[in-house]
Amino acid sequence: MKSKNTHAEKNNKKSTSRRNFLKKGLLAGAGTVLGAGVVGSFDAFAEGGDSIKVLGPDGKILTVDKSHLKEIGARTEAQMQTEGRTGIPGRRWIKVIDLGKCRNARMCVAACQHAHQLKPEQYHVNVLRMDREGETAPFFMPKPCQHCDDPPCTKVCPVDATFKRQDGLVLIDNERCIGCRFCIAACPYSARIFNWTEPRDAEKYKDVEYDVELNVPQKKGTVSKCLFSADLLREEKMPYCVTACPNGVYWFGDENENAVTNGTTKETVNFKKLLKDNAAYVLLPELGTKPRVYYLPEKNRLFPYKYNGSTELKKEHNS
Amino acid sequence: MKHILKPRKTTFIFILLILSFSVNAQWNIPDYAKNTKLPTEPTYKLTETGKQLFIKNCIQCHGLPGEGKNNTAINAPDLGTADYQSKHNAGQFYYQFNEGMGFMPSFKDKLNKDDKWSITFYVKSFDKGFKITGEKIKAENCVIDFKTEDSARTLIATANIIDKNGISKPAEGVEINFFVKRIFGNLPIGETVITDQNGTAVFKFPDNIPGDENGKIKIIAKFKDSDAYGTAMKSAELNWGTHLHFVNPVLERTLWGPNNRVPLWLLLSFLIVTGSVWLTIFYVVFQITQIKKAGK
Repeated sequence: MKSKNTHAEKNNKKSTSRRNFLKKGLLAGAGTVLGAGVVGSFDAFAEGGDSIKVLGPDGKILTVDKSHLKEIGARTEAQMQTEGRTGIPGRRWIKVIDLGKCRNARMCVAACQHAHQLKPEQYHVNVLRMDREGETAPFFMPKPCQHCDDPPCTKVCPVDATFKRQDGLVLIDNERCIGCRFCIAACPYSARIFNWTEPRDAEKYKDVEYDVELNVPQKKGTVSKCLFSADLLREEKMPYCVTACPNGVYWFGDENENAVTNGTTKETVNFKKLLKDNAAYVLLPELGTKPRVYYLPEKNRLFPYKYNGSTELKKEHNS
Repeated sequence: MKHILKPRKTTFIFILLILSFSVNAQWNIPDYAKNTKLPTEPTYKLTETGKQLFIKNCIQCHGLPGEGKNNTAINAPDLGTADYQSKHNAGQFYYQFNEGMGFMPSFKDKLNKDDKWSITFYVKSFDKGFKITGEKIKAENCVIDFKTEDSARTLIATANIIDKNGISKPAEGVEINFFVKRIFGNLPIGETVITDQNGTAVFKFPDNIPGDENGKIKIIAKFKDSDAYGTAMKSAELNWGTHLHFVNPVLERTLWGPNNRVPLWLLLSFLIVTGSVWLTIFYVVFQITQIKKAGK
């Protein structure tokens, strides 16, 4: 200690200048922090300024002082990644597709492709033309990802890019995907697509922050799939395809609440009762994948089958 | 195929023709029916009662008047159309409805006279020329409320009408529906309840409605007929729902989970297989070194 003191006394001039510099620096730093705080607090308490009307959560118009409003910035990519991986607690998303109502309007397909930056030939949900054996009637079947509870696709991913969340959704992270396409091979429902070329409007989406719950921007050389519009579910809205349907084909809801809501009519019904009353089924149950998408049989048709003027699928195949 | 279908179709149409012919032919309403004197003044209150009775007795075939949901296969007309109303006055309608014919049952012994007349007034209220007196219930004047009885899980709903002087009086015969709030909409629960003369209705809450972790649930009461009584609603948060036991499946050791959640049997068998291969290799190398040593 002593030696240090003497040393300091000896180099008084030098050390004072250094100390002064440090002091000044500290003061300046504190000043900025304090100043910012004061400005911030002024900002928060400045009242009597402009008041504006906002739509409250319960649908009522509220008058709020402008200074009380805070702009919520866009979520960062890191935030979207962590939230996208964990999912929404307490929810188990479920979809019911009523085949008796589908008339191949393809509004779901269009809404989906628009939202997920897909080309017209890329499908997260596709409407297929179906026919069974013999004299059965053909029908249309929308086929999204089944969001299986025992998904074969996540089992084969070597880099943990595709994963299942606690709310039942199976998502894929395009930032992590290496494009090996094992998952495409593993999926028994052919629900996944591969970006062989640059995605639609690649230039336009170039600077957009990647959202794992939306798969936008899409990346060339990676796999993409139906996400049940996880970004909308976070805002408590129904998926793009569900609300776009004009014919009431889709029911969507939370299995934990035992309720599904129709995307067209907005009618809410008991989920288990709907399945029971209509003899619902799942696709390829024998594989044990436990799909989260249920189908109601194609009975009590709202519209007769018609495609390009033909009412029979078989004739079309034979010609 | 065609030669079988054709005669079938024609016979079907033929039967339909006969049926409709016979059904239409037998409605001969006597002339006196037209001049039947109304037993009471038609009032809005009576039409309301009539509506409830109509829903119970007539809606299956005729649908609500003016909605076009009538069963055309048995020639049940939509009673709200201008065409029907112009051809049948109150007396004629009462006669048809009292006597019955073909598919239309006779209500002679099924309902009492007052009820039959209130149904008649309700149906005739769709005729613009038909005069109804009394106070009409205005949708904006109706209020709904409910209180809860926790011990019996019962909801007691009350419907009131506020008159011009601001005095509220109980609304009788109003249908109230209960809903629970779900993420994308309101789920109707149980049967519709109808208020008594005190304007109250008792609703037994079902015990299998899922709530959140604490069983919390948002219950909403609304008027069934929002055209007449308005969209007034009352909601309350109760913990009458079943408790949610959410098990996060991602935290379990599953085959489909991430690498750090691999099932133990898989991890063990992997370690045993790879371990034994490496051990064998090490053993062979060790033996070779031993041979070398022995040779020295």
